[in-house]
Amino acid sequence: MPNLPAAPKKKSDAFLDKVRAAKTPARKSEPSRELIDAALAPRRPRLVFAFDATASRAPAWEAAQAATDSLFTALPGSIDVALAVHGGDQVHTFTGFDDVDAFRKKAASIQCKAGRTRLVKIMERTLAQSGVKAFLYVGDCFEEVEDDAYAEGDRFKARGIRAIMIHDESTTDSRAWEVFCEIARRTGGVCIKLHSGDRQAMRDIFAAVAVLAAGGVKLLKAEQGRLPGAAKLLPFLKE
Amino acid sequence: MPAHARYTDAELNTLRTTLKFTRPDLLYTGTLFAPDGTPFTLPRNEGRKKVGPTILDMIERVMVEQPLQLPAPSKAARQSASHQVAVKSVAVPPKKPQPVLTWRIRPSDSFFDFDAEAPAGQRYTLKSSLVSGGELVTTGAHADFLRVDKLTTISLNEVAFKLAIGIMGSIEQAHEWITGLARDAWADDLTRSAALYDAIRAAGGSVPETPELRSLRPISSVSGDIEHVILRQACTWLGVDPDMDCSRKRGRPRTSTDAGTTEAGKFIAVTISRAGELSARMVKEYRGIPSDIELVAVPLLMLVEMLGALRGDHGTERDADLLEAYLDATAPDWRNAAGAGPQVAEASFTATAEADAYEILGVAPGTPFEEVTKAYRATMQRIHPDTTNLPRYLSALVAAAYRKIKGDHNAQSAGSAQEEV
Repeated sequence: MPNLPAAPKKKSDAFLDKVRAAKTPARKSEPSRELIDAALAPRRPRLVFAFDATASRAPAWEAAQAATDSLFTALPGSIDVALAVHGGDQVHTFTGFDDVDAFRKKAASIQCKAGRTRLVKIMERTLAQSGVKAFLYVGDCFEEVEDDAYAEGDRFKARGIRAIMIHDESTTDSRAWEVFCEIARRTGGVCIKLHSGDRQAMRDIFAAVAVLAAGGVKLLKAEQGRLPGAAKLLPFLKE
Repeated sequence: MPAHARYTDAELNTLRTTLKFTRPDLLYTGTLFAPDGTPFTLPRNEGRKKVGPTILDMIERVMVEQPLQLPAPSKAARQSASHQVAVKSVAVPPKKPQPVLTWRIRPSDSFFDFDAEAPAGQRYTLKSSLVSGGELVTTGAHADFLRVDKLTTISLNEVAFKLAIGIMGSIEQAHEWITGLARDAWADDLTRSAALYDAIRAAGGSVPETPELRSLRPISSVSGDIEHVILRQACTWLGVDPDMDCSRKRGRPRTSTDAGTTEAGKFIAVTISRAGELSARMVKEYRGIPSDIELVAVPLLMLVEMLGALRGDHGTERDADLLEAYLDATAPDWRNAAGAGPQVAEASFTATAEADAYEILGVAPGTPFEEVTKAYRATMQRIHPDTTNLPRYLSALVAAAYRKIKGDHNAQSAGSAQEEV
């Protein structure tokens, strides 16, 4: 059209220009098969199982503890699991990525203690680990600063850690539910309600989470036939 | 500043165009007396022009202290007071006279400048600020006024004027359009001014302002209003709803510092925008990939090589995790793109399988070899990549575990066979 000024450049154009103008590093040598293989080499995926063991959570802990077995049996020997527990105003347990027996021993010694929740702290500790693919949290309450938890959630996303947040349905803390869901959303994870008394449902979910940690959404999809819990997770997961 | 001006460029906004045209005005016709009694018959004739105060010069709006008129107590109030004799009369503090906005006819002595050194009889002159003139159009427009056509100007934002030229097609037509709008606005003003003047006269030369009188005040923003009309016209012309809400959101604008969360390792920093999008850049040079470069600009294969190198180096686990997550998020198919061969998975599993070969197959250590084989076949059916679409490394893992147990078993049975001989 004559007589009209040129359309103003869009912001995104400016960004793309910047990207295009940036010097693409030139390759000096042939691609190294060795390095590519090192990058593609499968690594044992890690999962952090975190639990809110504050006061009055003892029955829930008992149920969850029994269900943790399915974390190990869903795909035997294919993932490493660390146990993280907060209670009594602190993260008193953060185990290494042990084998089943060490995990069970540690889990058996957990006592529920009164105190405020320490989810943000557990997330921080999780970020200090490497190779973690999934973070499974079971809790019913949130008594910390939301924005802190969301910032940790963003860091999870950057590190490729999905947060699977399980909100104990036996309480009606709707704020905790909202915060859990937002954390899950930011990390590309899932937030679900589950009654801690429903042990079978918990086992199913845990098994599905273990498979998700081991092989991502692709594997969970392929395995959904034998995993009743997969149907609860998959609608929220993007590959 | 007119409300719309904030939508135009601040610098351009200072450029203004002045348009000349004539507009109607009403000049006072009558006699004003200077304080010394000198009569001034108005309007004066200056060539073809008539010169004198206009209708708006004849009136003024001032704050006047008026004694407060307390409303007389109503009949009902008086009656109730007489029934309650015992009630003490409350002393009402005398209210100070409140200044009241008042419209009035301008006092005639305020029209004059006084010059003590001028010869007697010429010491008083009409204030130039209260005098203007124009060519007589018609008499009898109003009892106290003559209608004249007065040369005047309107100052307009230059961008608005250029838009008007664009809309109308030529400078002349734009000029005609704009001055027409202005002339109409002033004609309207004049009608209201005459009504205001008549109201003041009817009230005896002074009247407190009421909402009705307020609405008769002349509009002071004619050029702003015209700019508004032009901009609205331009919006319509461009297919933009002129009533669309384009005001900035309340609150502090988001800056780059709170654009999102950044998670950084030694070499790579990943930023998650508020929309949840990942972007990554190098914060330090690593194996020939320079600092500050955005990872989008690095070829995929180089990123994969970098990931391999980071996996091998010490203290770079976090960078490796960041890069892998970045690749997973931005190029989900990167593993295939980098050419994952089955031999890769096979080769790297022999070491990890040794420790927990029995655990991988889901059998207790020491289980008879026949049972192990059964467990191996059952597991393989469940996870074989050809039938289940599972990643190859799982079957590689299980196969390696089985090979390990089988190897041990064969060695054992070979040993026992030798003993028997």
